[in-house]
Amino acid sequence: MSATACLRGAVLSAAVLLAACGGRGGVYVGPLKPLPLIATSAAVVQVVPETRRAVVLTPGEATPAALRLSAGARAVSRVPGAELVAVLTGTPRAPTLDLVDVASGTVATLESPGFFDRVSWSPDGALGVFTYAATAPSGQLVARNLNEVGLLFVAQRALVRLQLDTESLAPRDVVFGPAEPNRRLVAVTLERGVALFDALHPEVAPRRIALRPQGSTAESSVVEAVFAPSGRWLFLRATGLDDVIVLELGPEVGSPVSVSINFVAGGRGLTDIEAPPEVMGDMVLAVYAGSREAWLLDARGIQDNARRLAAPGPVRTAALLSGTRVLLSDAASRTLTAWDLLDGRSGSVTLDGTFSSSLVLPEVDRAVFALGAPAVLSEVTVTEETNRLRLKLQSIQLSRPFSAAALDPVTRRLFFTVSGSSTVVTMDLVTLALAEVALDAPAARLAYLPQGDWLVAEHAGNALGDVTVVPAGTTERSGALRYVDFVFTDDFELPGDAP
Amino acid sequence: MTKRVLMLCTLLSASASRAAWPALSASVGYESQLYTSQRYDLVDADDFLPMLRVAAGTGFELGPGHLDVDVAFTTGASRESAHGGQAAADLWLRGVQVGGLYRYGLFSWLEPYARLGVGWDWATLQLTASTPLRQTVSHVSGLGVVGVQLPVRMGTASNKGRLPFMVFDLGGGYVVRPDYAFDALKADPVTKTEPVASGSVNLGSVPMHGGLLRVLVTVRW
Repeated sequence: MSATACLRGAVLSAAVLLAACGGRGGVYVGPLKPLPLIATSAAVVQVVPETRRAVVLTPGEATPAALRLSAGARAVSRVPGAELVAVLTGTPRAPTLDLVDVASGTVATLESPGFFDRVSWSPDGALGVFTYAATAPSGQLVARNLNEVGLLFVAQRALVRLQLDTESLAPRDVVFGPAEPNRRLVAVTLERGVALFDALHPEVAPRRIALRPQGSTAESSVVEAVFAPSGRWLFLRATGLDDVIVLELGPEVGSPVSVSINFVAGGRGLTDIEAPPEVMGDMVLAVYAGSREAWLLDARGIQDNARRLAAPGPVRTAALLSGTRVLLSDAASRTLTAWDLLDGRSGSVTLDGTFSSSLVLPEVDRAVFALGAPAVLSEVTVTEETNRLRLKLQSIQLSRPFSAAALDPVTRRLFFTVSGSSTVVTMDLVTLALAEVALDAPAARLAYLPQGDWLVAEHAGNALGDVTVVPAGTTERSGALRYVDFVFTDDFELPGDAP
Repeated sequence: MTKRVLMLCTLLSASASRAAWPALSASVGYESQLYTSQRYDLVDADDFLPMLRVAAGTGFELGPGHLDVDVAFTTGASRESAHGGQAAADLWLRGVQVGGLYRYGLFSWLEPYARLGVGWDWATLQLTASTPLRQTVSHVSGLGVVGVQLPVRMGTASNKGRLPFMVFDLGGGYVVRPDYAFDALKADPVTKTEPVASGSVNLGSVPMHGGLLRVLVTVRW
């Protein structure tokens, strides 16, 4: 064998080895665009569509864990009251739903009847309704039936399709009625009306209530829907109407629910409706910004039962406090008004400035208002006096405007931070005692995790995951743990790559 | 440069010729390790990890051929931009090896060989996105290589004692290692005083076994 032949052999071997090289995995080429961070009661979850992973960060554990998802994750949402996170996955032609069980570390994949855009959950987390958004792009699909919805039974992991058959395009909102012995009504508000169906009997056709009669040129659209706690009434607020639209719902089970429509009038410029507590009977609370009034209207249309409160200042929204009290406010105004719906007593107070955000906490019977200038956090509590309500105002001075908050309703603690500061403050809502802990970076969002009593601060500016977890209420940095760039978790574990 | 190497070898050979030393060798060369797993693409898209190898050893006659044993140090690194430039992945692999090579002189200028070795390697992975995350993992390794050596006698027959050889070594083989689990990449604390502890990131494991090609230049005397 000549030296030339020997060299030729070596070169040939090298060529064979070169030919065996793998190409670059596509998953490492494109940028990662994680979906928003979701907090459950024990962990935070970040879904990374590009790598088909849900990264679960459990405070107290040194390393986040990753769960494999279906391809095409595009929206994520927490199921209330459960350690479950729902992820809309799949392709337009083969849509799926992944249910991530954070507690057990498992993922259940369900076939979805549509390539839905969003999900609404019943407050108890038993039901989810999947809908389209009219503004969402249709992707590779030529046509989408925006009148179909998906109904998820969370416990059974079953997802069924319902056809609303309305004149409107996609739903605007989904409202769940109270749990009744044999039915659970769900109202889907649409541009031109509302559709009602019984979630426990999805095979029964929905009842459609048109707000605009056929041929009408009226431009009213439903903007708000509220069920009465009894389930007997559905109240609607529509654009361009000062009347509250009252739908009286029949007791039918197993057949389309009967509906009779009534309009009840109060003041001018309807801006908010609320369902008062069940003890108030067949009433609806309506707030009128135009006439600066709040009305408690009888759903049956009995004018003599109506009650009116003339607010001392502008009002736009109402929020329920504990018992039968409501708090009326307007973000453009400094005046707050409390009204007891049962006995009619009221009272008001004036803030030091207009507020940028508010947090009404019926669990602790108080409200917190964040004022921008001056930077103040004002806590409002309501006490009873003989013939009126007294609003007590206690203010906390802030170095900068308030930016993010989380609440622990059980121990009555409010966690907050101010813009541009890396310090997180714990405020005891009863004693107003403050405790500060300095982190390494400002927090854009806060989440309280009841299991383990942890506070999670999500830092801004890093889409690849940047959170600090700290024992709630602590002032010691030594207990904090910061996780940076954790969306890379399991980055070596490629989908479909054999080990 | 070549002249300097030849002069050095000549000097070494002159001193070696004065005593009956066992055969000694020193080598330096390039080694390319090939990892075809897609997982490895995170740190190196073209799959080749270039390595520098330096070794020193001795040898003796065994049967019809020669057995050479040596101790080697290898080091190599790669850097890759990942996820559309969101992160840079740096891998540094280094290790020590002991090995034996059996060669047979087919011709005076051609010696086929087979080599077996065992070693201990350290791999440091640094993933830099918003901040560097780093971890070092170590494992045992083994390798097998077959190839040919092309010895070229240095000096003339009139010189006394052993004459050094410059040996050109072309080989190919396979290196075996367990998967490297980079399961706790950590960032350095942001502040020095009362730092907030860092949680770690588990990237999973990457196969680090694969073929290798090597080109060595050995001086043997």
